[in-house]
Amino acid sequence: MGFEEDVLKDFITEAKENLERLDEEFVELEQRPEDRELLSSIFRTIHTIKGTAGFFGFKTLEAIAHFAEDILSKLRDGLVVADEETIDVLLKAVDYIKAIIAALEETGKEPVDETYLDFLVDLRNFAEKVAKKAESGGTQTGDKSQEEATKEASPSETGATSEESAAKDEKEKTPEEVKAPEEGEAKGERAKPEAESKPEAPKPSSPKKEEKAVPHVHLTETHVRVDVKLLDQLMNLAGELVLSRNRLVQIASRISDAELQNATQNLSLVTTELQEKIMKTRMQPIGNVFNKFPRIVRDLARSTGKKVNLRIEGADTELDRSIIDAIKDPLTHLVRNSIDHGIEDPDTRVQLGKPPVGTLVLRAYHEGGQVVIEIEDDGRGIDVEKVKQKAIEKGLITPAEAEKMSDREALALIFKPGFSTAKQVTNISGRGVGMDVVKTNVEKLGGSIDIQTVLGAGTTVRLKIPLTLAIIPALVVTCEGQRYAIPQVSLRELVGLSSETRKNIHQIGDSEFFRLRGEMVPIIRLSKILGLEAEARENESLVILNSGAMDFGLVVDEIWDSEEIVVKPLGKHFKDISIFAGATIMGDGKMALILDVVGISRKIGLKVEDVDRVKEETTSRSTLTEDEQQFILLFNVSPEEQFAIPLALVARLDKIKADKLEFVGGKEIVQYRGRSMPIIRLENYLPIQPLPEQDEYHLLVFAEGEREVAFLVSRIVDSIQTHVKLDERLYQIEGVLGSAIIKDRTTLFLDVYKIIEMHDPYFFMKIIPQEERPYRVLLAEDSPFFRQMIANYLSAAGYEVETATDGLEAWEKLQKESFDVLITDIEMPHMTGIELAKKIRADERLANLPIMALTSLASDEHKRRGLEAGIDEYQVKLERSKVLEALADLLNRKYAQAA
Amino acid sequence: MQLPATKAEEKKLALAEESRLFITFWLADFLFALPVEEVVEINRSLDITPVPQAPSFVSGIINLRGQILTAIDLAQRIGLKREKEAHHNVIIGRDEEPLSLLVEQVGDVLEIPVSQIEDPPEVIEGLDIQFVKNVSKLPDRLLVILDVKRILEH
Repeated sequence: MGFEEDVLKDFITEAKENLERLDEEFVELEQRPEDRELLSSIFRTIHTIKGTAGFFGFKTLEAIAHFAEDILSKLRDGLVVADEETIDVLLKAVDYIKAIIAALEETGKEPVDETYLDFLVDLRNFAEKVAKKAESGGTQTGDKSQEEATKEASPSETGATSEESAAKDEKEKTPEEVKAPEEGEAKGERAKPEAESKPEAPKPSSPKKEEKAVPHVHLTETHVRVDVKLLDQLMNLAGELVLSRNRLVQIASRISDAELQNATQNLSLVTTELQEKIMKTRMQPIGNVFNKFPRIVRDLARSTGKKVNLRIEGADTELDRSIIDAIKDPLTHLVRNSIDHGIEDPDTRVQLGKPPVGTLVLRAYHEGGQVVIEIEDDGRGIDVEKVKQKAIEKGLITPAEAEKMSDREALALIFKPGFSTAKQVTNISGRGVGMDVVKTNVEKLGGSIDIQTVLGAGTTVRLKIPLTLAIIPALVVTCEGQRYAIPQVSLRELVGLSSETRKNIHQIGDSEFFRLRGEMVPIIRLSKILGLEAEARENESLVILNSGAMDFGLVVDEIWDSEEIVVKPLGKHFKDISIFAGATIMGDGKMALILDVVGISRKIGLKVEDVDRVKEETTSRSTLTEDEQQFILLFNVSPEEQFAIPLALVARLDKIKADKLEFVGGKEIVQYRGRSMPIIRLENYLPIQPLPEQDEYHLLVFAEGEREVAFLVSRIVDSIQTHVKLDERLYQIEGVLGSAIIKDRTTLFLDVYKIIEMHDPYFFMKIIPQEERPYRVLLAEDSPFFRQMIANYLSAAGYEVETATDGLEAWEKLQKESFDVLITDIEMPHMTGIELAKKIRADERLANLPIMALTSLASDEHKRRGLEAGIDEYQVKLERSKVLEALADLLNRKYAQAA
Repeated sequence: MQLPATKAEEKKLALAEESRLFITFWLADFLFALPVEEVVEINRSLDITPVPQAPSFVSGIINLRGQILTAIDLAQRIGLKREKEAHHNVIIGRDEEPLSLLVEQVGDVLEIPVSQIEDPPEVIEGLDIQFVKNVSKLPDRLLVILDVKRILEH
C-alpha cells in the first residue's frame, strides 16, 4: 500500500507538471496546427496519463485521456487538421483531467460527479466525429477501438457499473445517454494495452517519438523533487544559522584566540555559502508564472472575440519562490484587464489602422536589485478624461478637483478602492476586486506599481518587486542608545558630520538641507522621526538615502556596522507605524528595528509640504507626481513682498554683514571666499519695494562656471516642496515668471536667468550657432513656470525659441513651420513627450528632427522609454548649463553629420 | 456569539472534571488569572526593545528564541495603575499571533470548580471591566479572570 501511495504521489506531481506544459503546447498548436513534433509531444503526455490512470484504476481519468488521445492520434497522423473547435475540446479535456488530478491529490479518489460523465459523452461523440472525418484518410481507428473496447469490457465491470448506477441515481436521463459513459468507461479500461499497440502499426512517426524521449530520461537522473515546505524550513534554519554565526563572530572577536578565530572564519564562510545556495534553491524562473498565461490569454481572447498575440520576454528571470507565488494573482488580474479593457476587437483595430491581432507583452528583467515586470498592450489606452468622469460619478473626487488634476494623478485614481474603468461589469475583469487589491498585494511584497498609458496606442503596467524578502544586507546605525537597521538597497552614501561638513547644512524655515556636490538634499534627524528627545551631539553621521522618489539625509548618532540581517515581521500592533519595515535579531541576541526608507521619506514630505494640505492628498502626490514637484525657496526683499525661486538653481545660501558690501567702479560687490562677487539688488531691476537697511543680509549665490553672482535679500522665509501652479497673466513684467499663492501670500516667481542677464548681459556664455541665423527651437512644456524659464535661458544663450503648451500644439506647429530642434517635456496633457516623439519619428519629413527631452526627474527607466520613442537627449530641466551643453552637442552632432 | 459556545464547553468540562485550571499572576495588588489553555509559556525577564511611535500600551518587542513578539504592558492595557516594574512575560496566543503580557509576579496554578466561576460584577474599582471575563471569589480575595480575546483585539 505504501508503495502505491508513493507512486500515486509521483504520478500526481508529474501529471501536474505535464498538464501545465500541455496548456502551452495546445496554444502553440493553434498557431502551427500541423506541427508533428508538437502533436507527438502532446500525444505522449496524454498517453502517459492514460497509462498511469489505468494502472491505478482511475476510470474516468483514463477514459477522458483515452478519447483525447484518440483525437490526437488522428491529428498527429495528419488525417485531420487541428481546428479551433478540436483544440477547444482538447483543452476542455485537459481541464477535466486537471480537476480529477486535483481531486486525487486531495482525497485519493476520483470525484463522483455527473459532469465528468456528461463531458465524457461529449468527448466520445466528438472523437467519433473526428474519426469519421479521418475516414477519408483510410483509417477507421475510432470505430475499431470502440469495437475492441466493447468486446473487452468485461474486466472493468465492477467499476463501470458503479459509476453507471451513480449516474442513474442522480439524474434522469435517456437510456442512450446513460449508456454512453458506461461504454466510455469500459473502453477506457482497456485503453492502455490498446493504445500501446495502436500507434505502432499504421504510424510512421514512432521512431521520432523515441528520439524525443531521450532528454526526459536525462532529466530524471539529475533532478530530485523536494517538498516546498522542506525548502521553507531550510530557509528558516539558514536564517537562524546566520544569526548564530553573527553572534559567534562577535564573541570570537572579543576573546581573540587565533584558533577560535580561524574556526569562526571558516564557519562564517560556509554559512554564507550555505545561505546563498538555499536561497538559490528557492529561486525560480518567473516563467513558472508566465507559462500559465498563454492559456489564460487564449481563453480570454476567445471569450471576448478578440485576437491577441502574447509575447513573453525574460521568462528565465529568477525570483524567490514566495514572491512568485504572491505575484500570480496580481499578474493575472492585470493581464485580464489588458485584454478586457485594453485590446480592441479586430474590427475596431482595423478601422484604427492597427493590425487586427493585438499584442500583449509580458516582460521581466532585473534592475537595481529588483525585478521589474511589465504588462504591455497595444490597445486603446486609458482615457484619462473617462477615468476622471468615473471618479466623479463614484464620488471619489469633485469636478473641481478633476479639473486641476494632472494625467498622472488621474491615473492614480484607478488604484482607489471601488474603482473600475469598464463601462459595464464584465465577467472577466470586473469582479468588484479592482486595481486597489492588486496595488495592495504588490505593496505588501515591498514592491510598487506604475501605469503608463498613451490614449489610442496602449498601456504599460510596471511592477517593481524585490528579489527576495528574507535576508538582506543592511547598515546598522544607532540613535539614542538603540540600534536601527537600514536596508542597503536604499543607501547612497555616508557623510561624517564634523564642524567642517556641517557648513553644508542650511537651515531654511523649519527644514534643513545638506548641500551634497551642488545638490540640495533635505535632511532630518532620526530622533525627530522616532519622536525621541534628542541630546545635542558633537559627532553625528549623515546617511544619504534614496527612497525611489527622492534623496534625503538621515542624521544618526553613530554608524554601527554593516550586517546581513534576517527580516522578521512586526506584530499587528505596529502596522500603522509606517517608519518600520520589520525587526531583526542582531549578533548579540538583541533586537533592532528595520527602518522603512519609503515610509520615512513620506513623513519628511509631509513636514516640508504645506501643513494645511489634506494628508492623503500629499502622500498620493508625493509618490505619484514627483515629476512636477520641486523645492521652492521663499524669501523677502522688503517684508511686505514674498518671492520664490527654485531651490535647485541656488548654488549657495549665505549671510553677510552690511559693512562687507562695497561700491566699486559703479558696481556693488562683496568679498566672498577671497574673491569679489557682484551683488544684485532686485529693486534695481524689478518694480518692487526696496531692500531695507539691515545689519546682516542673506545672499542667494548663483554660479555659471567660474563666475558667481548673488541676490541680496533681507530674509529667507522657508523652503517648501510643492507643485507650481503659476498665474502668468497678473504680472507681465520682465524678470517675473508669474505669481502663485503660497502660504496664504501672493508670491512672485522670479526669472533668475533673466534678472542676471539684465544685470550683466555677458554673464552667461552664448552659444554661437554655426549658421548665420540662430537655431530655431520649439519648446513644448505644459507648466508655464518651466516654459518661461527654459525659454528665457535658451534665448539668453542665443536661440530663437517658439513655445507650445503641450505635445499636440507642438505637433501642429511642426506641421506649419520648420525648426532645427525640439525640446519637450515628458508629462503633458493631450499628447505626452513620448507620444510626440513617436509621432515625429513616424513622419517622413520630421524623422530626422533632433529631439531633447527635459524632465524634473531623469531615471534610467525614463531614459530607456524615451530612447525607445526616438528621443536623442535626456536632461533635467533645472540643470541649465547641462541642458545648453547637451543641446549644442546634439545640434553639432546632427547638423555636422548632415553636412 | 462565542459566549454560549464557551459556556457549553465549560459545562461539558464541568461534567467531566468539575473544575478548570488557571494560571495566576499579580499586577497592582490584583490577582489575575488566565485559563491554562490560553497560555503558551511563562518567561522571566526578557530584554525589551522599545518601538517608538507604538501605541502606549505596547512596551516594545522581545526575542523569544528567534521569534519576535510584541510585549504588551498589561496594566496600561486594562486601565490599571502599576507601581512596581512588570518583568515577567506571560505568553499567550496559541492559534494567532503570540503576544507577551508583562506582569509583576507569577502566582500559583489554581484549580477552580466551575460552579465557583461567576460573571463579573458591573464595576471593579480601578480596572476596565471590558477585559474581565469572569471572576471567582477565593477565600481571601477576588480572582479576576481576563478575557484573552479582548486583550488580543487591536
